[in-house]
Amino acid sequence: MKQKFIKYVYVAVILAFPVLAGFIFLHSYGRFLFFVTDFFSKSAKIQIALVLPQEPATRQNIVNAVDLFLDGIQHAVKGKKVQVQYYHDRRNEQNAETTALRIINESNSLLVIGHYTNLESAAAGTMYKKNEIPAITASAGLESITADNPWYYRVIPNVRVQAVLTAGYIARNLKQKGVNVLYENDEYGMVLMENFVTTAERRGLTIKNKINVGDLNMADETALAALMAKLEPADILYLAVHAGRGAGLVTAAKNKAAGFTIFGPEEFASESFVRAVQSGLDKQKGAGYDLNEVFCASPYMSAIANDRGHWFEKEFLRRFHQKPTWEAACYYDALQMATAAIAKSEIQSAEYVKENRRKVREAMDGYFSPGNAVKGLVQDLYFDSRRDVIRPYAMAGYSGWKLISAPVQYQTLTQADREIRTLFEDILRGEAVNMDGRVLQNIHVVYTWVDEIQVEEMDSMAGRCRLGFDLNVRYVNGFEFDPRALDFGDGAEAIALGEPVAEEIGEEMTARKYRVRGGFKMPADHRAFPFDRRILAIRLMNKAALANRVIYLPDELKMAAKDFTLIKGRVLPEALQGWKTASQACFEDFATKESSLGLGRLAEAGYKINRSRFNAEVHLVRRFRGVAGFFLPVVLLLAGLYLVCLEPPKKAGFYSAVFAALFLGNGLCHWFLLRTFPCDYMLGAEYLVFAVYLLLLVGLFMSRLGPPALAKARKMGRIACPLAGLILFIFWYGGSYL
Amino acid sequence: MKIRLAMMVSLVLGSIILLPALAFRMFPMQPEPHYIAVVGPLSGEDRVSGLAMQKGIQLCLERAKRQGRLKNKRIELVYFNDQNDRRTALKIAAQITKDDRILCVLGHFYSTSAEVAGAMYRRSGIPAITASAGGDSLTTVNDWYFRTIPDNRSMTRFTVSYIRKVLKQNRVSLIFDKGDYGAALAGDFMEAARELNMEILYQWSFDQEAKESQRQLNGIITELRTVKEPGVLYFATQAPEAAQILSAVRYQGTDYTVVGPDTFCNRAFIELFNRYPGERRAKGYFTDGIYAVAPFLPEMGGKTTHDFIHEYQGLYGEKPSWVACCYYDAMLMAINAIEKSDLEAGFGIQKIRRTLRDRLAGYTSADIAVDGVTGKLYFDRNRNMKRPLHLGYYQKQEFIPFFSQYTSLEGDQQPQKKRIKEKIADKVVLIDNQFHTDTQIVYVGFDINSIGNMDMEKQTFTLDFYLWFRFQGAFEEEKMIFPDALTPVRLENPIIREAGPDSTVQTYHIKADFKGDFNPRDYPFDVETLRIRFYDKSRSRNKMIYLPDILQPASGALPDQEPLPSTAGWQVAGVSCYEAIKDIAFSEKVSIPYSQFNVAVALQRTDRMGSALKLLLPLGALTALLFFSHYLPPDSLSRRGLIYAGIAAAAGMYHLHLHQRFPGKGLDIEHVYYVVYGLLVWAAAISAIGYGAGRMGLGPQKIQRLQQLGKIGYPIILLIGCLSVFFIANG
Repeated sequence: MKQKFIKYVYVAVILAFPVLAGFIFLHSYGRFLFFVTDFFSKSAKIQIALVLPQEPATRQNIVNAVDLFLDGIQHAVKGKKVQVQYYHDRRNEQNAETTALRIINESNSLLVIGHYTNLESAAAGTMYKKNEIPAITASAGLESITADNPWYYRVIPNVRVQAVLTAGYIARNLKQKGVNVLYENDEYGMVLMENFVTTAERRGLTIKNKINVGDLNMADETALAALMAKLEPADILYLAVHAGRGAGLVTAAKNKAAGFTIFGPEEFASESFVRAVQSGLDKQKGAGYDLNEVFCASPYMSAIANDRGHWFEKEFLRRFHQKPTWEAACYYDALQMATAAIAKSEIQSAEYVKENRRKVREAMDGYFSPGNAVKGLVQDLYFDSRRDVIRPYAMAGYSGWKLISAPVQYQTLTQADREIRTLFEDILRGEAVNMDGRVLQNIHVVYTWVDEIQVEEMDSMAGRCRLGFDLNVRYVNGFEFDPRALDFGDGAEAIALGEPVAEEIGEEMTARKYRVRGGFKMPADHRAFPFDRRILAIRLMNKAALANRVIYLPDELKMAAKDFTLIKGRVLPEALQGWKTASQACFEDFATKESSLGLGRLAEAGYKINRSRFNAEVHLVRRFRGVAGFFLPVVLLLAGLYLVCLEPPKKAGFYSAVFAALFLGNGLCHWFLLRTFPCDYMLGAEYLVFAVYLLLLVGLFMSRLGPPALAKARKMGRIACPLAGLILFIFWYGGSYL
Repeated sequence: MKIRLAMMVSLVLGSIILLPALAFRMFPMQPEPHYIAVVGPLSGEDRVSGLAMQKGIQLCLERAKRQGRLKNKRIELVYFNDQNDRRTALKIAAQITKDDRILCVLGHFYSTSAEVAGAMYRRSGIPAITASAGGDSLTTVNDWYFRTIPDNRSMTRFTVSYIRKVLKQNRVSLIFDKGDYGAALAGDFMEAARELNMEILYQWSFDQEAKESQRQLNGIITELRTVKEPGVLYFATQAPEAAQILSAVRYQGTDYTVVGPDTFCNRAFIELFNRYPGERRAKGYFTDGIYAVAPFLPEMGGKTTHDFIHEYQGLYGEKPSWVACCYYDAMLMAINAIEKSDLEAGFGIQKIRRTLRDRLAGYTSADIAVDGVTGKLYFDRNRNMKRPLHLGYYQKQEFIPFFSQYTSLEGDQQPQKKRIKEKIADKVVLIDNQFHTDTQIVYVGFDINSIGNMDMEKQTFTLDFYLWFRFQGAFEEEKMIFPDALTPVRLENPIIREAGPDSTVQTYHIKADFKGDFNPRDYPFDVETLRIRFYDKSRSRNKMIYLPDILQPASGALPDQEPLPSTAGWQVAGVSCYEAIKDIAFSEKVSIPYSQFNVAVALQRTDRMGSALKLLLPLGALTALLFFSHYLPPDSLSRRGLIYAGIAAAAGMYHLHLHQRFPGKGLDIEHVYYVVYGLLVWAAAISAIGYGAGRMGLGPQKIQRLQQLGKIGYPIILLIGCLSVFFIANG
């Protein structure tokens, strides 16, 4: 009876670990569980139609964003499964209409997300209006698509906004005051041109030429050359054209080998534009020809993202190993809006699809003010009377072939912010723009980079290190960069920047380098020892508590270098003995704090202080030597226990001596751990120690049994000991990654 | 036989004598109870005020009993509900006068009820003390009635003074009830207003007793809406009528300045507005910015008040209102009078009541005053208590002190001439023949950003926080002292300085190192408190008082708020902000009180159970191993010895480690190690005795019993040890 009981105890203990490990595995890969359960599920589904663009790369980005979103909501809204059905556009109106008809007739989709281009959206929109199905576009910017169609909504700003912001940007930040405008004579080009010209003239710019290039043959190099000859390179070139024509014009401008500064619309921010320019450039000219000095508006960039946007980018990068494009971000916003509206509507069963669509549309109409909004990746999403979202575009510029943030951006001021600032003066000075009752405020970008990090000291146990590094900053001329306003978030002491060791003032940008030395915190979590990690982190943000006027972006020019390393030299310094670099990362995020700061209206509004923070992280892991060094005593202890199981029973004193020695040895191991890691929480390694204690006690108990039972128990022990050790090791090692 | 009989008789006799004596000692005879009648509105609209009365009075009585003040006297309370109605009050007064056990009366709440009942008390010779009924004639014509607050006339004069000098308004309009209460207030108000050359623009009245009173109120509302600038609106009315008028005229976009009497200062006043959807949806929609003069504001009190507030909050879970404070003091006066009186039955109830009345009347000056919650308690010749009144206003349904208050200079040593000069220079104010000075109220807000660098050994920590001040007028932050800061904290360059119509806000971002006072005695369940304090050494408490701002985050993490910041291994359990009085010695005998703002951030360890497990699991294993040693053969002394040595060494190592982590600190959890040592001693003793018995040739059965004793005794000792540790840890 006793022996059976012991057997059951052993079996239970041994089985417990794989069950636990399996549970942890399944928890991490719950998506697979979802697909399995979905196959057998017969519950009602919510269908959303999503019309993808033609370009494969853009398409894949959007699909990735959709996957990320659906995983986040567990593929369900209000208990009903969400299914996204993909459709494809082929860049023509007829096809768009056909796609729209398919969606209307063949599916029970409550809502459509798409289409990608203005042409297709306008064509399909007519069908959606007629058949009363709501649609959201995250890429088509023409006002008429939503203004004339009460069933169409848009989650990005319209083209009028980008034209105004572009003109404002040029007037505020560039020295040149003359502008040549080349435009297409379709609705898109005309809206861009008219709004740009009006704003530019109001802001003191001179429109030198306004040329309709709608009929220009992009293959006619002579015509293009003649056009370029008319234009003065010292002036700005604003291209109010589509990407295809734009690529041709940019190529022509570059081939002229003149230093044009070119501005374009949001279509210039797509990868297709880049590819078109690359193929068009005169290959004989060779290297050096790129998209430098070409700027455009972009519906989304990291520079204008809020905390949710930063989270989205981090997750997207972690999952898909690439940064999201603006399409991915904007379609993510569209999905957020769509599912929020569906959740708000009281959807009935699928046979009432028309009624359900009407309810969804009514719900969408309900998002009309900041108090009734959906949190987006740039700001809260709510519609104006024309079902548009008024928010800023990001201003971007090419560096080589890479699109990076321009040094000045716009940000919407909330009602709470507006009370703090001297709004009127800001508008007069050009620091803010009044856009349909919403105020868009300039914020400055400081391109930040740290390198040549020298680790002078590192106390991994105490969680502190002493670092010396170069801090490089680049910002637009005219911005008052105040080094005293900077705060190192993880500084263990007050660190002042002092005077720059180098400074370079260019035509438009100023670059400074500071040499910084100081103590930094390195939070240490020893739980996963010896598989624990350390993060050497340098975090930089403004001390000032108010809403952002500055954002610290990683300098993408430096990040673009394939083999960039933050640590100085290739060999880790002595301070890092026992550690090696696992990975490094530079990114921007927000340090967010909700506080009223003593002002009543901020308390009501739930005011959040978002301070832009630059982060440079080097992730360290222990070298194998250190790991092995820990395991040796544990292995010896388990081996000792195993040997006891192998050894036939001799004298009773033998067991006592062995157990006493093992107990003491285990105690010494534990004491070593306690001394080395004076922390209050349980270390993973301590579980091993307690497991050994437990095994010893079980063994002692077994030694009281009679010879037959003891022999059986010894047999089981020979299997149990190493198996228990192995399972514990896997559980502990795997747990360190959860 | 005879001896046995004698013994039995003696036993019985002894029992008869002893048992009652023992019983008497264990259950002493209680004296006959005497009662204090508490009369107030225990139901109806003003139920909240009645409850506040009860709580204040009960707390006072319980405290007095705890302090042993009513020796040989058994005083109980009996409650009567007069519903603030005159007829009911009269019936209750008749009841009280017939009950010879009632010594005195506390109440009534309203003047109207007190006056009708007071006549009966006077006829029957029962002293009564009210702390809320302000009718002037209540005490002037009835020498059996006492009042622990100023009368309505004083309160009205204070109100007028506040309007003129603090709110800086000299144009007022009056809305009053033609009944006794309203008419008296209106009369006093107009008289005081004329004295201060204030212009009375409009007067509206209604008769609450009349049948057409509702029509009259509607008429007032209509007229009021047509008036562009009525000036300050003073309401000489009861709360319900005021609420009806205000809810009709006060809405977003209107900016009436409204001032009311003490009836506006109760929770019941706010409850009247909570009937309206606007107020329910947005707290303060109708009530924000309404002013009222209260007989007492707890925030303005001294140390005694603070102790009272602390005790009241601990008992009732809420802050006391002025009603609770003033009735506490009323009860205190009654207790003082009762303490000195003889309540023997032979004296007769009439004589006892007269004695009580005379004792109460004997408190006539500050020298012999009682130290109460609301200040020094003594009566003037009309049996009222004179003290400065406080102007409060509503903010989000909280009644809080206004930015400027009057503080009495009575008892101040300055000569009269100087005071007169100061009055001419407008530095002091003369109200009701007493000089008063301005006290600035500064609201302080505190919001933590992060906590870091907690060093239990050096007893220091770093705190990053926002600190803001909301005030009116001038505010000098340069002289502020943070006594706990390691390096002086200077408040420079506010991140916000916003001057609004009512107040100015100045916000600072501070990151500094402070001294801590950590005591890990209860490790790992210890709760450490980080304290930040500051005061202004240039302004005593007469001149400035810091109070916690209602706009700061509530203490503790609420579900709809982001979690409070944590520091490695610790999490914030709660934040509390409060004002304390810091006495700084001016000379050997004189010390000056300063207002000190205190922030206490309570931290607890993040993984307390994990820490406890970490400590106790190894000891558990050692204890189990030690128990196992009892199963070894009694003659295997060497094996047992080996085990004991191993356990002792292991326990010693863990104990040493704990000492090294917390050097010089006595931890309660250390006692667990002593339990293990005790068990070791027990096991070793059993082993030694067993071995010795075996050597001496004792039978195996006896040795077996010894072993069993060891096995049984072990868990008992373990249990006793654990219980002892538990009780030691819990004090």
